[in-house]
Amino acid sequence: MMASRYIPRTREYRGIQPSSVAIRAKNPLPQPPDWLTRKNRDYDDRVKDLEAQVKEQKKQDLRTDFETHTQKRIIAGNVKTKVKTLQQANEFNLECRRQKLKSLLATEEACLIREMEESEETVLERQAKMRERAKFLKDKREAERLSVVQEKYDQQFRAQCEELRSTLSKRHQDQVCLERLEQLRQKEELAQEKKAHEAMYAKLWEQDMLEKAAREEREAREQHERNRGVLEVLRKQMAALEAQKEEGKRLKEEEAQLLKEQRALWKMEDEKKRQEKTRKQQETRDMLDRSLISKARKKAKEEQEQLAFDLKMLEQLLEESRNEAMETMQRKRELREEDRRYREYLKQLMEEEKIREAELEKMIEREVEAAWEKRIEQWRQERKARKLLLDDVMQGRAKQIQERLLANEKEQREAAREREELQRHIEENQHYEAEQAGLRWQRAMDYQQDLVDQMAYNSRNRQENQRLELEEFLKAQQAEREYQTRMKHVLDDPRLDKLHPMRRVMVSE
Amino acid sequence: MADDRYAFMVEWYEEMAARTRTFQFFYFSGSKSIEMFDIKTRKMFLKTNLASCNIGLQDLYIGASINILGRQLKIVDFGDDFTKRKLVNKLEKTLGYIKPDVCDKLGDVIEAITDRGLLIAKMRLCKMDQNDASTFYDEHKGKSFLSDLLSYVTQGPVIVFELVGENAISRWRELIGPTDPSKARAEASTSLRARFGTDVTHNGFHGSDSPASAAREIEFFFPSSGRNTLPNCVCGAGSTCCIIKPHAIKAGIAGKIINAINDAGYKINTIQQFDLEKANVEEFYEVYKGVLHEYPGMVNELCSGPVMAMEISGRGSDNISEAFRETCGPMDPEIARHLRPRTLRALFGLTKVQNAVHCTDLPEDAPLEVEYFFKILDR
Repeated sequence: MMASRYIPRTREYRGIQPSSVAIRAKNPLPQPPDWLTRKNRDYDDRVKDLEAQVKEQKKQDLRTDFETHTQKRIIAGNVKTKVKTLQQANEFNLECRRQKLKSLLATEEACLIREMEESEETVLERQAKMRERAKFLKDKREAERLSVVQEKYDQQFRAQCEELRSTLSKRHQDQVCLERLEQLRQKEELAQEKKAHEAMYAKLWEQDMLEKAAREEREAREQHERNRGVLEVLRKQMAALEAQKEEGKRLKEEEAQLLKEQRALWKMEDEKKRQEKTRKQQETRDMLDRSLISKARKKAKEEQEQLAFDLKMLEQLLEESRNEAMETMQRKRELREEDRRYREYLKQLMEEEKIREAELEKMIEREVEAAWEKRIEQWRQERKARKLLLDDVMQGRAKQIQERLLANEKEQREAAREREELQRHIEENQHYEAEQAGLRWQRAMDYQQDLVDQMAYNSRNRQENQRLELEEFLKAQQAEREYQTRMKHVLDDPRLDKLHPMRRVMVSE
Repeated sequence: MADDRYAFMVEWYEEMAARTRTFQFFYFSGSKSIEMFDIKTRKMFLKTNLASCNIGLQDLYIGASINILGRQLKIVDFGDDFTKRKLVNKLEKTLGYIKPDVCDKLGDVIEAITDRGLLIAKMRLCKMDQNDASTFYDEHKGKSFLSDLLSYVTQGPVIVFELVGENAISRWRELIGPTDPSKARAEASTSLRARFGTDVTHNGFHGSDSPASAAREIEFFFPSSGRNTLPNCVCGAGSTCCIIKPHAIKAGIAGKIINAINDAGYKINTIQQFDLEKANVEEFYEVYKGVLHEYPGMVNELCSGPVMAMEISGRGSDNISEAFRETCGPMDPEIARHLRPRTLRALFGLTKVQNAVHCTDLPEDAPLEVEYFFKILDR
């Protein structure tokens, strides 16, 4: 498609007719043919121009540089000069000031030195000064003298003016009375205060005393209580001791009783044994007797029975013989036979009987023997049991007694120990009591000593006080006397200037 | 007292090399000896226990300048925790100022402060306007007495000082007494408000109430940037300059000197405490260089501690400097005691160098000296 669309650009244009072709004219050239030459020529011109300009510029620059540099240097030079002149001026000024200061200080110093020198005085000056001083002193003394004279005059006047003195003394007296009243009041106050003080102390003392008494009483009571307690304890201990002794005695008695009982028991046992023996023998005999009798009775009974049976047989036989005659002979034979057999049988029976009897006897004997044996065995066992029992009892009893004895011994030992302890306690108590008593005694003695010391101290104090009082009294008397004389003196020479400020004010008013 | 070692960081401006060097400074309280350790070169710089150094523990606080063998050192910080712990209580700072109506009682106040054992680290007379005062009394904003207070403190110059010492805040408050002067008179009759206050508003003195407020108020009056914002009251003409020398301030007689100046009928226009550097002193004393052979001694004396510079006027303004020189008396206190026993130097001076006060000698120097202190140094 692209290929079909592509139409080559040509200058030829075909017409409708065949062989009709038109050719488009060529486009004119865009630049003239000598453009390169011209361009080069222009360029050269421009370069030339520029070079000329640069040259000019350089020249100008050089000039400007020179000018600015010179300007700067000129300015710097100016500044430097100015600064230098200023500095110089400043220095000059400073130097000037220094000079001035130097001269000022020098003149001042000179002045001062001169002054110092001047202040050192010459002889003449000193004389003048001394004269002046003497004059001054004289004047002063004169003035003082005059003032003293004036004062004396004044005093004289005051002393000699009767009216003034009387009024003064009256006023003074009033004043003194008033003050005295005040003093009395104060004194009373003081006394009251003191009284109150003393009352308080007395009260305190009494309280203290009461307290002490109460305490003592309490202590005594406690002591008594304690003593009673100890007594009680001792009594109890003694009672316990007594009881123990009693107990020991009782135990011994009991032991004796027990021994006696044991002995009785033994005796009784022996007796019993003997009795038992006799009784056994008797029994044996009785039994033997009894067996003999029973044997005999049995035998008799058997004999009787045999006899009865024989008789009955005989009767029977007889009856049969009578009834049957024929048979009698037979019977008789038979009977005889039978009789013989019977006899034989009897004999045999008897023998058997005898054997049985013997056997029986033997059996009975054995039986009896066995019974006897058994009984004996029984007795023996019984006895043994009894003996065991008795032994047991005896042993128990002995043990009991032994234990009792041991306990008794132990108790005795204990009692002994307790007794010892008690003894020790008692001793200790006694010791303690003695100590306490000693202590109490010591304390009491101390207290007594204290009291004595106190009394001595009090008496010494009292004496001292009395002495002091006396001294004071004497001093007071002396003072009083002095006071009186002074009073007199003062009254003789009343001075207004020694008055109380208040009074002075009053006076001035 | 045990031989405790206190360490500080100090700075020294070395004039020859025109540089500031930093040292560790050790002070041994038992032997009163000193060590300086150069931090940069890591070498011991100085080790001495000269009695002439005469430095006590109370002289060492942050911001103090001390003079060791001619070198003026400025303490900038504590060197270790021990020193900080030990001294931070002792070196509590507070701010106090004297309100306008009692500014003429400055001498008594300074005397009371020194008697109390507090150290004046900085002092300045300045004037507050309404804005400054309301900024300062920001905490009282909206209270009824504020307007009275503002008009009171702005009616004239105030004298502000920073006090340093153990429990300085409470001790200064104790010294000025309760707020109400009538109550102060009843409770603490020796307190300053009892002595000089008039009523609750016009109570004459201010004292910081807590460490925080003290720091704030110190920053207000003595900014740490070093530029004082509040103007002083220098008038420049018809006045003379007087300087109370360091030995007098150390001896605690500054208050007496000020009282004496006031009693002589002079008026202190403005007063300020300076810690002078040697260069400044040399500049100030340039007139005396080569005039007096005591010049080096004078320079050393003036830079050995704080000085109080005053502008003085009054009593017939013509030739005030002459008149004030008369009041000060001869330079040598010995001569002064002989010839002018009532003069300041006779009363307070010790030697020709330590003669208590410097006063302007040449009348034409007076404005220069005043200007030097109150316009150049107190920028």
